[in-house]
Amino acid sequence: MKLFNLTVSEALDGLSSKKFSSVELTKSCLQQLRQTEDNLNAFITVTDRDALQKAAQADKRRARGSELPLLGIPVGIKDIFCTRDIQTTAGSSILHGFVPPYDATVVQRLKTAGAVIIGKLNQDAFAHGASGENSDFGPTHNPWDTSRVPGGSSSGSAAAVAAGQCLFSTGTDTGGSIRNPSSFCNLVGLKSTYGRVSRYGVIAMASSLDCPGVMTRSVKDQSLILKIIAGDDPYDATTLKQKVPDYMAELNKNDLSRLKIGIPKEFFVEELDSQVSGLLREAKAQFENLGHQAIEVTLPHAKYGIATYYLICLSEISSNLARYDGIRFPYSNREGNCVGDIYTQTRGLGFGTEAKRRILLGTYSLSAGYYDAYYEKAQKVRTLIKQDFEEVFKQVDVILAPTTPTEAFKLGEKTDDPLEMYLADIFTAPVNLAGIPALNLPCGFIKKLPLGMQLIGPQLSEVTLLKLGHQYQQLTDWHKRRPPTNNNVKRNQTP
Amino acid sequence: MEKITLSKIQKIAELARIELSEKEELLLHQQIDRILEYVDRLNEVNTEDVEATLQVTGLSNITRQDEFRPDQQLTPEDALANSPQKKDGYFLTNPVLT
Repeated sequence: MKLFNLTVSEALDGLSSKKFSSVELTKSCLQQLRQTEDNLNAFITVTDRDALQKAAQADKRRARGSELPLLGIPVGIKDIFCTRDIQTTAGSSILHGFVPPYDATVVQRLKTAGAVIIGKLNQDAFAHGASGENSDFGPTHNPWDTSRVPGGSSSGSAAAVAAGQCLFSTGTDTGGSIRNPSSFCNLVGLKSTYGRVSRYGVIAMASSLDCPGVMTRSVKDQSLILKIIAGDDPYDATTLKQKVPDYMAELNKNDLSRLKIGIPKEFFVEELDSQVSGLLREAKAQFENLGHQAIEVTLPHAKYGIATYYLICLSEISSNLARYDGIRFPYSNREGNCVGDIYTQTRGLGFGTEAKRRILLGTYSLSAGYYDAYYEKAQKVRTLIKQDFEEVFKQVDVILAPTTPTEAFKLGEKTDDPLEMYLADIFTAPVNLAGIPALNLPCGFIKKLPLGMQLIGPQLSEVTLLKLGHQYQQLTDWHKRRPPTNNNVKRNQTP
Repeated sequence: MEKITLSKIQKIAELARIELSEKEELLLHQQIDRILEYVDRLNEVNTEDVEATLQVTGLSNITRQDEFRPDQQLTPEDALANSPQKKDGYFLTNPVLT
């Protein structure tokens, strides 16, 4: 068994029982990275030398009895997270050369837990996208089929873990950016309750929607790591005060009661791809076999989800991206005469087309004379969407839904029409509007390409989602499959 | 009927401080128009007496003591480190002209 194919839990077992060292584990990931990276383009910055040093330190600490929860485990960090002394670009040219003087809280917590950073992962620039094709550093490719997208915006985060370049990764989810690539790459991705995980040091996209998280190979891994990154942070005033449960301990109780699972009729219409609905129907049947009860529910405002999401998101983006002015960050165009020229030319040249599109739409939506009709209207429909979910959760414990409308599509297939790309968020974005948690779980394959499904719960229901997901993963083994890139054998190596 | 004119796009670009090429203006105009048409469907929703959701946490007025902590300090060197041009501990820019 190649070390880079292990889950975090398996790797921790192997490390503590001295089957292998952190250095061997990290070398295995780095070697896999070197072999696959030309075809995947999952990383923007690789910190291999530092990673090996940290892995060696981890081995020494373990030998001295350290029991840090992620000691010596290789992780990839989405480039939207500030990492001290390591270039951080958020996938955008306008941040080329930016080296933060501090770590994001999530990064700090992972480092304190002993994780080894392999590098900074590629993504759609500023998290604008659902395919990875909006990166200013070239698109990332899906390890399951390199002619296809890995999903986005946490594109590199998904591809790297799927391919074994690291054992887990960080991502962010504003309208689906953890769940979408998890679906396309056969990973477990949790968007937790808004405020559960600190946004400090995460380059902001839409401040009322952004949710940092991790992408893993199993629900067990997700439970282990969520406990480490979640929780109140004095540096982020929007973090929730409620105590963080010991998710792993909860999982191990194996005491999940009979749940009511809602099936929203608006999500399972005629137009939904028949192979997608087929897999979801099988999953529903499996949940019923486990003793749970499936009930049809309704989300009456579902069809307004995308319009609501995009108006709010783009408005907040236009505000958050105003800081990129060619003054405080290295990328700057100084050819003009006055400071105003620095702004317009730096931003004109440094931002990609998608960023510009979103900034312009957002600026318009917030401008005098249009604010009521667009931004405020959207915030009111947001209330109705939130209430739809609250109503449903009076009748059921969780909702089962598709994550993506299809399996991974081909690179270039949706880049002509931005609106078509926006519609990829149809099942994921409403969840962000309501601020509730949702878990993507691998649920099968369509023509050898993975597909995920969502379990959605009320605020702070991560324990229920993870327990149900874990139950499902004890019954199925979709999540244990690895892409073809992970079976390649070097000529001078025994298989 | 157009939802937004080209000249409006140009005005917005000015507000957002982004210089666009002519080609970009035309492309973005067309794409933004289409997106605005799509979001128009929100007018079908009756939002009379509905409060806007500004945030979902329910938290308010999270404060801290206004005290200096040396471990929370960013030195001037660190603060300026990423600036393309600096002088005497200040950001250096082009002149502010109107």
